[in-house]
Amino acid sequence: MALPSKELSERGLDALITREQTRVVAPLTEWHNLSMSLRQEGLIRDSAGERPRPERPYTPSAEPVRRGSGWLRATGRWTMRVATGAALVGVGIVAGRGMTFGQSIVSEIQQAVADSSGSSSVRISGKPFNSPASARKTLLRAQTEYQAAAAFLDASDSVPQVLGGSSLYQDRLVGLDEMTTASLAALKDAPRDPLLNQYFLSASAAREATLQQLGNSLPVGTTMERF
Amino acid sequence: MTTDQTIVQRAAAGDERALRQLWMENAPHIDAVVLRLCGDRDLAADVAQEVWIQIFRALPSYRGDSQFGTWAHRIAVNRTLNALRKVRRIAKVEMDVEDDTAAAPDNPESDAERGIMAESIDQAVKQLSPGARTVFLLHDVEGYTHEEIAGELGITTGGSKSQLFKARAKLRRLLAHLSDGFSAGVGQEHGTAI
Repeated sequence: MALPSKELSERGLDALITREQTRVVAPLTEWHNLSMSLRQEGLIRDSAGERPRPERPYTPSAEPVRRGSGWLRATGRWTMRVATGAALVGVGIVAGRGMTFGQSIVSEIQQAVADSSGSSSVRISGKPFNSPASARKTLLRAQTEYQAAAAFLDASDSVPQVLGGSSLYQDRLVGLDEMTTASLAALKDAPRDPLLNQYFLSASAAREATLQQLGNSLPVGTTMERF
Repeated sequence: MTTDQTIVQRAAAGDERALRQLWMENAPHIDAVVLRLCGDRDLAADVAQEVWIQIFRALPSYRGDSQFGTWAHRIAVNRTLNALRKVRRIAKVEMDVEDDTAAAPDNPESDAERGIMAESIDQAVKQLSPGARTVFLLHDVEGYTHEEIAGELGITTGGSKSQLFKARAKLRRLLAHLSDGFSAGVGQEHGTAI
């Protein structure tokens, strides 16, 4: 076995730097915390377009987060939960809009999950990746587009009322909370894993969208104390 | 008017949806910058909150001359450096030049480095002195010039170049075990752009 060189080449270091430049991370803050600070600063004004928050208290799932080896043993189950959750994300965001964007993303995520479990040939939209760099580029683009679309839908006032109303959104929120917590715990063990980052960002974006939908679905005049 | 400007105008007026949209679209990149510079996730989480408040506070000054992400990136770097100064992590960058013995020509492998095999550049950067790490990240990763770095950190351009040279030298040693993956680059090396 050849001994490693005593130094990495300049070119090798530059390649690693280029990779680092495109790295994205899961948000370090939560909107809930940030928005409270922004309100205190007077940077959020409720009269500027935001409807009052519904009053019904929301309690996130109290299920403990599995960490370390326990989490590793549960990886298969977690992956299934995320895949299921991803489907929920897509359906939740595009519900009633007749769009296929979410389904497309869900298919891609499910395909990525399936492929990451052993296949050496990863394909999205039928196009094979010829390098890790192209795969990362695609992942970054998909993530950016997903977040932009989720943010657009979140900001849109044309949200139709979904059958089931607020209880449907509350149930969805519980599931998304579990997904967010589980993916965040997974990221602490593997903070640079692009797939885990993708899951976390998708779940976070869907959670924000669902909160907005929940707010819109409850009677005017009520406020949500916490979520 | 661009989409960025429209959203920024709404955000500047205090529209929570617009503020949240800007945060959702840009947090993965902005927070990555903060995390890189801080090097510590807990500290970075605190700083990121300050960074975003500062970005939103400065929204009225956004003119749309550049993309919002680019504009916010500058604020993120400035604010993070300020925060790091507060915790005295880079208070004496010039002193780090003297203290950083890792890259001395007659000491290619210090005791501290021996046995350390960084798995990634992220881990390796954490092994650098605070001053060298900051200069390396600002120049090589964030794209700042030495003149800009000198202005930001209150050091000379020569000091910035020296820090960068030492940082890259140390990183190349810390990441030596990865050289197999870049064997195609052997014989095609180029000098550090300083």
